Amino acid sequence: MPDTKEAKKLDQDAAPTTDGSAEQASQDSPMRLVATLIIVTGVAGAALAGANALTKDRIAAAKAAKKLASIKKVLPRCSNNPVKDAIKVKSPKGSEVEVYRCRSRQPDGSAPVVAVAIQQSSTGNRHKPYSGLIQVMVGIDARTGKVRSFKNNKGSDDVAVVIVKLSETPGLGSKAQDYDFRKAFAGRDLVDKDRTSDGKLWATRKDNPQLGFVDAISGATITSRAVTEIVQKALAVWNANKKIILTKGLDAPPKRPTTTPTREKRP
Amino acid sequence: MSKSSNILSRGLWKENPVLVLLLGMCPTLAVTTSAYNGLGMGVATLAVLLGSNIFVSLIRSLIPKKVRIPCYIVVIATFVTLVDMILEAFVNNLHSSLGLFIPLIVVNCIILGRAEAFASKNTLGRSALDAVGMGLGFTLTLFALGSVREILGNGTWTLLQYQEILIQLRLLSKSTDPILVMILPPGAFIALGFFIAGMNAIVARKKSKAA
Amino acid sequence: MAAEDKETSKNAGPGAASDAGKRTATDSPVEATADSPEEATADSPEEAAPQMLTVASSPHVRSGESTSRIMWTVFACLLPAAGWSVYLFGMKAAIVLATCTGGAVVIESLVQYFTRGRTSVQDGSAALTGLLLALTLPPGASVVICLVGAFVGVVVAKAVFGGLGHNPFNPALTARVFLLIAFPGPMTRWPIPLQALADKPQKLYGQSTSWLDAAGRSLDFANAKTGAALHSLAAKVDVITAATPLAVAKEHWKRGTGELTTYSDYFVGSMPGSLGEVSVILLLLGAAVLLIRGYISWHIPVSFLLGVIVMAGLTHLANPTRYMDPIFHLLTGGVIIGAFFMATDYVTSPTYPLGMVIFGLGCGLLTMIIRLWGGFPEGVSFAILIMNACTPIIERYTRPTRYGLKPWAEPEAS
Repeated sequence: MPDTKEAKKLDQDAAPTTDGSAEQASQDSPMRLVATLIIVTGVAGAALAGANALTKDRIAAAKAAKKLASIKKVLPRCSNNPVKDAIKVKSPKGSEVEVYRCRSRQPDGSAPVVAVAIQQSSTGNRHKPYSGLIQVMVGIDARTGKVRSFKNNKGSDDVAVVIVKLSETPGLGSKAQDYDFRKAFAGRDLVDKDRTSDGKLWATRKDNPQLGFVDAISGATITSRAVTEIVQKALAVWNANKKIILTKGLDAPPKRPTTTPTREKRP
Repeated sequence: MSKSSNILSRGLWKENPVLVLLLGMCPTLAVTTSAYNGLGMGVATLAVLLGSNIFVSLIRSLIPKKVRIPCYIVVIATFVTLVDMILEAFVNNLHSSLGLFIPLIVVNCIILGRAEAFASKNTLGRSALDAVGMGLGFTLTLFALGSVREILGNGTWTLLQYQEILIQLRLLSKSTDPILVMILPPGAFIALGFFIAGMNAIVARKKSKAA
Repeated sequence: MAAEDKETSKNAGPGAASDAGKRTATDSPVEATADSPEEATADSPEEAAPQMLTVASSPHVRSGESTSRIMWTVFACLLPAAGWSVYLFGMKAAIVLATCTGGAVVIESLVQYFTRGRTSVQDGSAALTGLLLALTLPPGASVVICLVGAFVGVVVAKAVFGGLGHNPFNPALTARVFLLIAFPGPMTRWPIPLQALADKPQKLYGQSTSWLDAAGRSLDFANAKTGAALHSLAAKVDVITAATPLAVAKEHWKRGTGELTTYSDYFVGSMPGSLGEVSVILLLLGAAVLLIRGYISWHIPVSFLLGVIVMAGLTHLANPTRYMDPIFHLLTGGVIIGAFFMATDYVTSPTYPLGMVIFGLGCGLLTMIIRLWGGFPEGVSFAILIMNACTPIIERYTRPTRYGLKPWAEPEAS
C-alpha cells in the first residue's frame, strides 16, 4: 500500500502549513467546534434551499406528467386536458374518487364527455392482492359504459386498463400488466352489482367456470382476482355517478352527443 | 505507472469497492435488478462521491478533528439530497425505481470511507481522481451485476429508459421462461457470490503465474 | 493423525457403529493418508489397494460398502418409480429424467476437471442428485429448467461447499426449491397423464377422477372417462394441466370448492403431480430394498411419517370438513419420496438414532404446517431443507456420551 504511506506524508506536510501545534488547542475549543458545525450545516442548508427552489417546479411538472401519461393511456384523443377537467365524486362505498373526463369538440361547438378515466386501488378489496397495493387506471367509454378497447400507437390491440402501481411477485403477479391478461376486460360493463350486460359474471374463470370471463394468470390467481375486483369497482363508480360526470361543469350547453364517433386511433 | 493514474485505476480493480472491499452492499444487492438501474445507482453514487470528496478535501484543514465525522456526513447528505432532487426533476422514472436507495447513499460506506481515509488527507486533485476511480469501479460493477441479473432473470438488457426513449435488447425470446429468481433478492446474493469467486480466481491465477 | 481423528470421531461414535460402517466417508482412513484430511471425506477410492503397515484410527471393521455402491443402489431403487412416470406421462417425462441425470453427470465432470479432481463423478452422487431432482419436477419441465436445476444441485448446493460430504443441504432439494422460485409458472403446471389414461381408462382409474371430468367439461366432452373420448382429447390438445390434489385440498378449505380423487388413484398415481410423487407403491418398493439392505435405517422415515400422521390426525379430528385426513396427506405430494429417499441423505441428516427421530419428526411437523397454513400447497422440500439446517445442532445434543463421561458434558478439546 504505497498510497497510504504517501497519503500520511502528505498529511504531515500539509499539517504545519495550515494549523500549527499552537493552533491545535484552539481547534478543540468548544466555541470553534460549535461554530464549525453551524457554518457547515448553514451552508448545506442554504445550498439545499437554493436547489429546492430551482427544481421544485420541475419536480411538480414531472409528477403531473406521470399522472397525465397514465390517464392518456386509457383515453382517446381529447380536446381538453383530462387532469384539469377532473371532478370529485363519491364511490358506492362512500370514498371520494377523482374522475378525469375526456371531451371531444364537435362541429357544432359543443364538447361532450366521450370517455372518463377512473383510478381505483385495492384498498378495501374483498380480494386482497398478494403483496402491497395495486392501483389501476380504467378508461370507460362514456356512451356505452364499457371498458374501452382500442388500437395503441404501435398499431396493436389494447384495452384501457392500465396498472399504475403493483408490487406483486415478478414473473407471476406482475403478469397482470400484460395485454394477455388485461384483454379480458375489453368491452365489459357492469350491471346489477356483479354482472355484465351479456350475462357474464365479474369473476375469474377459475372461481366460476360457466360465467366468469377473466382468465386467471397461471400461478397468480390471487392477483387476478384482485385486479378484476378493482376494475369492477371503477365501473361501479361510473355507474353510480354517470349523470354528474356527464353534466356537471360542462363548458358548453348540455346536448346529446351527436352521432360523430370520436377517433379511437391515434395518428 | 504514474501515481495519479494509479489512484484512478485501483478503484476499478485492485481495490474495487464492491468486489474487494465489500462496501456498499445494500444498494449493490437491492437495486441491480436491471442493467439500467445499476448504472443509474452507480452514476448517482459517483456524483455524490465526487462532490463530497472535492468538498471534504477543500475544507480538510478548516475542520477540527473532533467534529470531522458530523461535518462529513452533513456534506455527504447535502450532495445526496441534491442528487435526489435532480433525479426526481429530470429522470423521474429512474428516481421512482431506485426509490428509497437514493437517500440511503448517505450511509453508503464507500463515501464516508473515502472522505475519511483519502479526501481528508489529500489535495483536491488527487481526491477528485480517487472519487472518479472508486465511483467508476462501483458503477461498472453494479452495471455488470445488473446486466447479468436482468439478462438471466428477465431476458432483457435495458441500457436506457428516459421518458419515451427505451433502449432495450431482448436476449431471450418471450416464450422461454427466464430464471426469475435472479431478479429477486436471493439472485442478488448468488450473482454477487459468483462475481467475487470469479474475481478471486483471476487474482489467484495471476499470483500463481507471477510466482 | 489428529485431524483424521476428528473426522472419524464425528461419525463413528459407539451408537452408530453399524451405521458408520456404511458411512463411506469414514470407512477408508487408510487410503486417506495420501490425501489431505479435508478431502478424505470427499473421495475415498474404494479400489485403492490396502497398504502394509499403515496405522489407522477406528473404525477397523470394514463392511465392504462404498459410496458409489450405495449411490448406485439407491439410484436403482428409484428406477421403477421413474419408469412408471415415463409410462404415465410419456416422452416428456423421459426427457426430464434424461436431461436432469445426464446434465448433473456432465456438470459434475466439468467441476471435477476445473477443480482438478476435488470432486468425483464416479461415486454416482451426481447421477443420484440428477435423478432425485428429476423426480421432483413436473413432467412438462423444459430442458433449460432441468439443466439449471442440475447446475444448482451440483455446483451451488454441493461443489461450492467442498463436494460430497460437505454440503449442508440436500442438493436435489436445494435445486428443486431454487427452480420453484426461479420458474414459478412452469414449476406449478402439472399435466394430466392423458395418453396413459386413454389407453386403459377403466383399469387405471377409479370412479371419481373429478379433475378429468372438469377437463372434459372445459373441452366440451360429455364423458371424458371413456377411452374413445380420451383418445380424441389426447389427439386434440398437447397437454391439459390441473391442480395437484394438495393444491385442490388447499383451495378446498379456503373457498369450500373443489372435488378430490379417490385414494386408489393416489396409490397408483393417476393424478397430476411431479414425476416422483405419482406412484406411492413403487417408491415404497424401492424404499423396502434400501431398508432391507440396511442402507437406510427406519428412524427417519418412520418418524417423518409419524409427524405427518399426528399433525394431520389432530387437525382432522378437530375439524374434519376443513382438514383432510392423514391417509390423504401420506399418499399425496412428496411425503413418501421425501421420507425415504431425501431426508435419509447421510450427509445432511443426524447420525444417531435419537437425532434421527427428532429430525424425522421435525420434517413431518414442518411439512404439515406448511401444507395446512403456509403459502405453498406442498411443504416436503422446505421442511427437509429447514431440518437440514438444524442437523448440526441436533447432532450436538444427541451425541451419545462416551463411557465414563458425564452426560451432556462438553467434548474435550483434542
